[in-house]
Amino acid sequence: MSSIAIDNISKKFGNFFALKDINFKLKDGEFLCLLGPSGCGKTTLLRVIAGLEEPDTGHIFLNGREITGLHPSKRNFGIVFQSYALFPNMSAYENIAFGLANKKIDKSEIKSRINELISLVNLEHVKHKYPAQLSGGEQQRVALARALVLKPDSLLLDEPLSALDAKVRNKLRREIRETHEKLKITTIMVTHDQEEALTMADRIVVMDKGRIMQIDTPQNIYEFPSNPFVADFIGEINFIKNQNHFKAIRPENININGGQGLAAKINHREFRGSFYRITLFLINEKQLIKVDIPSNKRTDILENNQTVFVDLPAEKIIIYEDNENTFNYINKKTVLSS
Amino acid sequence: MPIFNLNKRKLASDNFFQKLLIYVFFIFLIITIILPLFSLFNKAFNDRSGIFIGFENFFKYFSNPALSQSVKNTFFISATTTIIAVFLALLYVYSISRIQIRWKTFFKYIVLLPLFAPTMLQGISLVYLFGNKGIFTNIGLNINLYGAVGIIISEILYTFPQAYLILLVGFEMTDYRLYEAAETLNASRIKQFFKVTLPSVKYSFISALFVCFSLSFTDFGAPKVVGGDYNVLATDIYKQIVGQQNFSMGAVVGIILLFPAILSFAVDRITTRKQNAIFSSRSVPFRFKREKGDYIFFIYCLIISGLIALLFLVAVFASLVKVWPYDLTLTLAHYNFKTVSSSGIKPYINSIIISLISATLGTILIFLSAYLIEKSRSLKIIRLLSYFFSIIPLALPGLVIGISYIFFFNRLSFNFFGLAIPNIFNFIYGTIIILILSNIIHFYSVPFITANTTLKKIDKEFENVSNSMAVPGSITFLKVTVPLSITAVMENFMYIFVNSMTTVSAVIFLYSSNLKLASIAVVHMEEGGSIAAAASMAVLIVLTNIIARIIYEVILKKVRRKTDVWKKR
Repeated sequence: MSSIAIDNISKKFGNFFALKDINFKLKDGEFLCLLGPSGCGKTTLLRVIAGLEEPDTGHIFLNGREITGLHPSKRNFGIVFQSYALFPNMSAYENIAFGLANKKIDKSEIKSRINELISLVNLEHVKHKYPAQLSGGEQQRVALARALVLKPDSLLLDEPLSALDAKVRNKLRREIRETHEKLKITTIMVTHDQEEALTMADRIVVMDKGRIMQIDTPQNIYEFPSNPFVADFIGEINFIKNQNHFKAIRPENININGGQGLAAKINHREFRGSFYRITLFLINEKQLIKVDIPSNKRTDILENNQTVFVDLPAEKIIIYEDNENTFNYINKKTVLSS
Repeated sequence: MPIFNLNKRKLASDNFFQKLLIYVFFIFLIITIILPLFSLFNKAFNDRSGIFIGFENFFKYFSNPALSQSVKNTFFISATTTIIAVFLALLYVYSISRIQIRWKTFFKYIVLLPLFAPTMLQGISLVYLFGNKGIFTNIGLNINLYGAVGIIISEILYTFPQAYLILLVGFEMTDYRLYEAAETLNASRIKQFFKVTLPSVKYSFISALFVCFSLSFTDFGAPKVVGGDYNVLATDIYKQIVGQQNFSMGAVVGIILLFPAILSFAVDRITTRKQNAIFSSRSVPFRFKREKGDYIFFIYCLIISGLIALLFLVAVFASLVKVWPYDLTLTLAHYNFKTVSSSGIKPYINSIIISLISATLGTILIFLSAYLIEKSRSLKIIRLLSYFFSIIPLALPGLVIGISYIFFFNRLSFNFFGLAIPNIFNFIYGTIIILILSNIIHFYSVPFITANTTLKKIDKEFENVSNSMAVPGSITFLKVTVPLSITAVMENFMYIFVNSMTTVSAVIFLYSSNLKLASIAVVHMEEGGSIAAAASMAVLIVLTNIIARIIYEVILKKVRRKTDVWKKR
């Protein structure tokens, strides 16, 4: 049972801000993802929470108790490292048993706890094998079990799936989520993969350059991105310039038709399996936009250089002011697209 | 919300015990390396009564024609040795790494034989071949052994394996794709040699040149045996200190000896980094092709390895014949050292004991120190300095270590701004402790770098894993780090053992009469004319090292089998 509160955390490396003014609260039993591009500070934040790094300012609270100065071993966090850090010279069983090495626990209880975890992560058939003989997915599960052996209050995962190939990743996403549900354990997971965050998280913390850009549920972040960075980082987005602001809309929400809306010329048509990605050039706004049409809709009428009309439903448009924050970001993108 | 300075709180930093150990090692290195060097410089810049006289001793040295001639002689010897040894080694390595010849394993092992022998052995063998009563001299081939010729030949044999090892690394770290490309462009083998091979090993080549120069510049054993009247710096130091008790002059020579070593050390650091950079993880290992002229290289390797083996076999033969060259009946009499020296076989026993202790203590100390430096999180500056101090011994010739230890540990007190501070370390002087210590420090750097490299390869997060689970660092160290580094640890042990058995340059100044070592016994017996006994002792040293190496390989195989269990996929 643990709620975690992060209060005003900042960390500098020289003149470089790795983390700036990080504030948020986690509910007990929540699954939170820290999501962002490389270098945004998400791993640094996780390590600060874990106690492996010191923040320059700020506090961390666990169930109301301040833990900012505590040694990592006293925070009762289970940590899974990006490299897994499995001990190569120990079997899966021995790796998992490692945390119990010097603890005064009954031998039979040690055995039962480890076997319990081994069956929880489905490693029964390989428990005596060495890491080099395990697949990536199996190694990951050993790392997870090892982190859970001391019955931690919370689980911290540092990009646990980034080393695996796509099919294994999908399977393990579900397994991690299931483990989370079974143990009802508060979990923070770092990832750079937005699909992972969208599928696994109760809430996502989107980060960029050491700052939090938005915290919300996956659905809200996708439908109502609060700033252009989040809009562009998650999924695809179009930014259409309009005097002193930008209209932002997702490609799947735009309709192509024969007469209503903005005039556009078809630039390119790309088959993506379940949908077509159509690139169009808006004639009056003089910029490119992307529109996604499901494959089961008629697209044979869409020929290159054909003039069509695009309809942007008002309820799907998000407005961003053209100010200092958005200026460099969006303008750079729209200039490049045209 | 108050923002207070959290820097005072140490989170995942090391515990008290670990920090204490870091300090202990730091102070250890200062006492065993920095302070003795300090004493050395002190001595060189002071006169016999301890008053500072600046560079006067240096002027005195260089204005003495006999002494400054030594400098010129030493340079000549080293330059000649270097050029010949490195080129011979280059061809040898080329034959092994680029040509498909037979008996490669034999050639690879035989070339390392001189590393198992004290440098006097080459000199002794040469005396038997080319000396006044030598085999070849007797049939009319007089090469004027005693002097530059003898020294140069001995040094070539001494430095050849070292040049070979350095060049071998460069040659092995190669990218076959370059050769493939050259082949498709129709480059002949000679062209490939000059356009592909040489450029890709140029850093190893430079490193080999400097190391050979530095080694032959500072070697003591060979010039002692076959130097005759040809003065070199190494024998000068010996004469000044042991002969004339002129410590200031000895210190001056010691400092002069430092220069090529420091230069070679600096060059080696730069070139090693650059040579490693040439080799990327995408590089493809060399693939051998058979060509017509291959047998020439085989013959070359045969000749070279034959010469190396010959020098060793001559010494063995010399140790077994009654009276050279008159009575050639075989006998083991010369191995009864009691007849020529009162200590008998004791020096040999001493050497084994001291080498074992040096190797054991040294390996543990060095590995622990490397671990603390590499894996700790606190005390960054202390660790950085410790790392730097750990590399300094590479630049210290044994002679310099020996005499600076005399200067530092033999003092009864230190003069610190008028106050006489008693030297608490004086007690180790003349004991077995100072011998073991000088061995450990003399051979410190290579095992240190080996340990450091191995530790760097181990996942950085292991310490964090144990930190987050409240498992003491010592458990992780013993259950994970050491098992993963076991081959490096064993390698280090062998390195220190073998070198401790053969070394003479540091211990010649530090031994006491009841603690003579085998290598010193060789020097003394040769000095006293009992050259057959000297040869026997030298042969004993080599045989011991060979046996040790065989035992090592057997144990290594067993260890490998164990680690293969968890290494193979």
